Amino acid sequence: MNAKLTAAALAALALASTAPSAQTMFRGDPAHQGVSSEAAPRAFHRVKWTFPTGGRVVSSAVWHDGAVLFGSDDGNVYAVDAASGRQRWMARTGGPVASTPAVSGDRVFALSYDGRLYALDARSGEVLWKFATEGERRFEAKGLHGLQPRNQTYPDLYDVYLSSPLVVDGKVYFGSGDGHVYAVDAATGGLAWKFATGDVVHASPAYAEGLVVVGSWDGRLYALDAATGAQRWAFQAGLDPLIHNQQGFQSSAAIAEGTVFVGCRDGHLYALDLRSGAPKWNVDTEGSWVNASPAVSRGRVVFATSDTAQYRVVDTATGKPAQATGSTQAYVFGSPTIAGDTVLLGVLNGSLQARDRADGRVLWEFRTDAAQANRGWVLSAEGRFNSGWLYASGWGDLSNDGTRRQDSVGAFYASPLVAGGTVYIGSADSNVYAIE
Amino acid sequence: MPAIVPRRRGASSLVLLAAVFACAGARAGADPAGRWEGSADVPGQPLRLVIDLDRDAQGRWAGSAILPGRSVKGAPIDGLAVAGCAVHLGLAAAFPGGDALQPKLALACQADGTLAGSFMLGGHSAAVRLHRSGPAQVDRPPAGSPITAALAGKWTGRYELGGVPREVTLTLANGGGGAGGGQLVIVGKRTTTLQVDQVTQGREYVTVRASAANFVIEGRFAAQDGVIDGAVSQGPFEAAIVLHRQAGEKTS
Repeated sequence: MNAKLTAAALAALALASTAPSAQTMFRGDPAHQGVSSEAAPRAFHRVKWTFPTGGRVVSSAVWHDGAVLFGSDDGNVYAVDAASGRQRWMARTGGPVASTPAVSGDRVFALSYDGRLYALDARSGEVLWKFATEGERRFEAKGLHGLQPRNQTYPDLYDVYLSSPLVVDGKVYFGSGDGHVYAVDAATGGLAWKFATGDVVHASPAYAEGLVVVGSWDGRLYALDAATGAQRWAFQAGLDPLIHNQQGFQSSAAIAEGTVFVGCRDGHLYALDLRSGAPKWNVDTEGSWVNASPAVSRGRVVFATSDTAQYRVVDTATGKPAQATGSTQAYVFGSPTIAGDTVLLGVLNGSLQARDRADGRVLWEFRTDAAQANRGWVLSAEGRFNSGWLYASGWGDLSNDGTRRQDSVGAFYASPLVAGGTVYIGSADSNVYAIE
Repeated sequence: MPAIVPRRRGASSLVLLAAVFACAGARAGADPAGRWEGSADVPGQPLRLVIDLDRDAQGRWAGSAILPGRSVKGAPIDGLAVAGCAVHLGLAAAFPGGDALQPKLALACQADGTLAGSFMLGGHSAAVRLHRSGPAQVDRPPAGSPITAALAGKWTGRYELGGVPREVTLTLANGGGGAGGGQLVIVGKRTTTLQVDQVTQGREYVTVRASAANFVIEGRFAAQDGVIDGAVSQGPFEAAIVLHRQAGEKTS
C-alpha cells in the first residue's frame, strides 16, 4: 500500500468513527430531525453581533470548535468566531453557496453554484479537494407559476437552496441541479455512486437505517441504498403539468420512528413508511407549498407553510393537529429548529420567531432593520407581503422584480443554529446575526 | 423585547382630515375633472400615477387609472366620491389582489392648481401630488352587447385541463338592461356554476366573461352551423373548446 492510499484510508477511518453531533450539518443530524442539543433563549435580550457578507445568506449556520460556519450567495464559505463575531477564515468558491455546510471531523463540506462540492480544512478553510458535478441549474419550466409569455422557460426564483451535504460513514451525500444524487468519498473526493432522478435535486438527503432519502423536482421522493445507490423505493407526489407550480420536493425529509416526514410543493406534508415508502397519512395544506423541512420530536411534527403562512404541529402517528394552527404572517421557507422548550422559525418577512413548543405562542420576535424600515412598502403594516403591490403582473420580467423586492426586507431563508444560549441565523440582507 | 414595526393605525382618518383642511384653502371653482399626472412618494418605490376624472352625460363622476411601468392602463376606479374639491377613490382594479391591499387616494385641490393628498396601501400612507395635464380621457370598461337570437339559448361543449375533462353548459339570454348575460355550469371533479356578466357579440366572434372567476370563453361564432369554436381561459390556463347548440335549440 503506498503512502497516499494509507493516508486516505486513515482519513476515511477517522471520518467513519466520528459520530455526527447536533448542529454540525443541516437539520442537526443525519435523520434531519431539526432538534438542537441546546435550548434557545426564552426571551430576546440583544443582538450580540452582526457579520456582514457580500450576498444573501440562505445557508444555515453549523458549529465547529467555537465557530459558526455558513455559506453566502457572495460565493464564500465563512468561519466566524462565535464569541467575537470576527472572521476566522473565508474560502472562495465559484458561485453562491446556497446550502448549509456539513462538518465531519476536521473537514467542512460545502456545495456551490459553480457545480462543485468542496472539502475544506475546518481550521483554515484550505481547499482539500473539489468534486465536479455535471453542473448546477435552477428548476425551470415553460410558463412556470403561470408566468407569461407562457411558452417561455423560466428559472424558478423560489428555488433558492442548493442541496446541503450529508456525511455518514465516510461518504458525503448530496443532490445536484444536474438531476443526480451523489455519494462521494469524504476522504478523497472520489465518486462512490450517483443516481439519476428526473429533474433538479436541491433538497437535502436524510439518512436512517442504511437508506438515503431525498426528493427531486420530478415530484418523487427516493429511498436509496446508502452503500450502493440502488433505489429501494420511490414515492410519487402530485404533479402540475400546466404551470409546474404544485410539484417538486424543495423540502428535505426528516426521519423518526421508522417514518419519513416530508413537505412538498404539491401542498402536502407526507408521512411514509421508511422501509417501504408506503403512505401513512398526509396533511393537505390547500395548495400552499411546504418548502420548510419539518422538525420531529417527542411524537410531534412541526412544520410551516408558504402562501398560507401557517405554523402547524401535528401528531407523528396520525397527522392530526396537536395544537392550534398559528400564523407566521408571511411565507416560510426556513426550517424550524426545536431547541429545548422553544421552536425557532425564520420567516421571509425578515422576522425570526421564537415560539413556545407546548402551545405555539410567540415568545419573542426579532426583525431585521430592513424589515423595520420596510422601504417600498414590501410589507403591510401587519407584516404580510403586499403581493399585489410587489408583483405588478404575470409577465415574467416584472415578476422577477417582485421576488427581489420581497427579499429586500431581509428574508430569513435559513434555519436557526443554537449554541451556548445564542441563536445564529443568516438573512437575505447579507448579514448573519448572533442573537441572545 | 423584540423589535416590532410601529403600527400605523388611524392613518386613514388623518389623511381624510388633511384633505378637508387642504380643501379650505383651495381655489374657488376648482374642478377635479381632467387628466392628472404625478406620483406617490412611497419610500424607495415612487409610484407614477395618471388619473382621469370626468362626469358622464348624467353628471355622474367616472374615472380610470394608468400606472406607467406596472402594465396598468385604464383600470376602473372604485368608490369615486367627489365633494367640491375633495376627491376620494379606490384603485383595487389596478393591483393584483387589490381588494386585500385596499389602495386608495384621498386628494384635494390646492391653491397652485394641483391635486394633493395621500396614497394608501396595505396600512401605509404616502404623500401624492398630481398636476393637471389635459382633459380627461376616461377609459370606460368594455360594455357587453345585446345578443342575437342565434346566440341566445343553451350551448354545450367540453375541454380538458391538466388531464381532467370538463363538461360545459352555457346558457345565454338578453337581460333586463338589454345586454347579454347568463349562466355557465362546469362539471369536472366537481360542479361549478358561474354567472356570465358580460357577453360581447361581434360579427363573427363572441366573448363570454364570468368576471368573478376571471373565466372567459371566446371564439369564432358560426350561426348557421350552431358552433362556437375557440378557447376557454382562466388566468394563465387556456384550453380549446367547441361549443354546440344543444339539440332542439333553434338557430333562427
